[in-house]
Amino acid sequence: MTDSRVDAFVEAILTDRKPKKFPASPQDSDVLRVAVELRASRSGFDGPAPQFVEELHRRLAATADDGAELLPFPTAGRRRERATLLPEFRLRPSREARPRFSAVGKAAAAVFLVASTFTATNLVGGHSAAPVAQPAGAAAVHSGALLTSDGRPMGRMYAYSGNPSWVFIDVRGSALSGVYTCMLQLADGTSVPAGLVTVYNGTGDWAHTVKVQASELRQATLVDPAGVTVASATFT
Amino acid sequence: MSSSSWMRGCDEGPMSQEARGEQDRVAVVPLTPLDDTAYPDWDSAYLDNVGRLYRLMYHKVGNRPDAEDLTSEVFRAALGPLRLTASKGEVRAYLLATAQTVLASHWRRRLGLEVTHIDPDIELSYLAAPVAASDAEPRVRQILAGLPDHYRRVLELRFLEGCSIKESASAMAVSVSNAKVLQHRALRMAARVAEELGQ
Repeated sequence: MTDSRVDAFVEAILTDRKPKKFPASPQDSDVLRVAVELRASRSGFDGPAPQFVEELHRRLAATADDGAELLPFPTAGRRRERATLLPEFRLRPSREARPRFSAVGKAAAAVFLVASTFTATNLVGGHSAAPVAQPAGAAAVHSGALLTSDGRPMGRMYAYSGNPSWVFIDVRGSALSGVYTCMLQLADGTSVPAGLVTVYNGTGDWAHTVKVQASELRQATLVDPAGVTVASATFT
Repeated sequence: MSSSSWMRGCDEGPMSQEARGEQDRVAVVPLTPLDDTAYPDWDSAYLDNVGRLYRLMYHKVGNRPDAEDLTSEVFRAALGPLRLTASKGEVRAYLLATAQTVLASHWRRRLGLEVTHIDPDIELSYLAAPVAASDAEPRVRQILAGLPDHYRRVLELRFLEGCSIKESASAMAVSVSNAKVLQHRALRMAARVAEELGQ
């Protein structure tokens, strides 16, 4: 039995590091199996880090943009309409940025952010033509206060009409932490997911392209992994 | 070294007497029927399964970096063939079948043999179960119960309470080198107890 290597392997998992490879014997395997079993049963294990969930999503999206036909929407019923209306809701890279915007000029900041975000997206995906940042006219930007389910403000959401159109979410001073799905409700009553929003210690910014005009968006919600709506904003 | 010294924790951490009492409760995980509804899009499928798959992989490898790598590998491998016209249950079954292969390859690369494996028939209910805070599993408690007090305590301190070897030695009122020997022997005895219990 390779005791020192087994001990090193055990010490690695106890300190949450990748164990080194070595040729193990069946007896080693029995010891390592029980070590893994004991370690994995530790109470307080809190699941994947939000950063990991977001980063993997981003990498998968980049793969999808390399041309893989991986996400056909179901071909019947309402989902077909959604696919026709909103092909951009297919998985695609999102980019987070955490600049600290002043309260004044949030809409302009949103447009600046989405323009730079789209450029970064294209660096990853490399298919779409880079958009031209357009000045944000008052009619082009719709926004709404982001409110918790009991009505407390926790940021703002913006929708910008252009080519492409964008949604931008600014979360501040919330009790949220983790990864949430952004759902967009359209004027025709349909509801579609726009992507994943990561909130760190109550704060986060997120932008994403959509193939609808801002005027077609009625409401946006953040939904936690359990399916509970934790915040919503009505666009005006 | 007295038996009472083995019962001290290395800090005020998660394994208080009260927590140990919690662990003594028998956890019952009900079987979950396959979900025959479909995901509306890839994002939903990803978000619904990434945490579940990560937890499963963590239980099979015991460390976060490997669990993250293996979870990533499963999603990358499943990305191409996966079709969202399938039901949620079918999507999870496909992810699980992929995970089985990915985990087996991981162990062959790392140690030349499989230390843990995924049985899709057994793990599907685990993958479909709602995400919940983990607790020491009944089997682990059975393994620990089959050990002498000082062996059980050193494993509790190191594996369940996250104490360093120095902290564990201090909690058990033994030297660091003695604690290392205790852990070494305790693991080997635990492996024998686990083998007797079966999978």
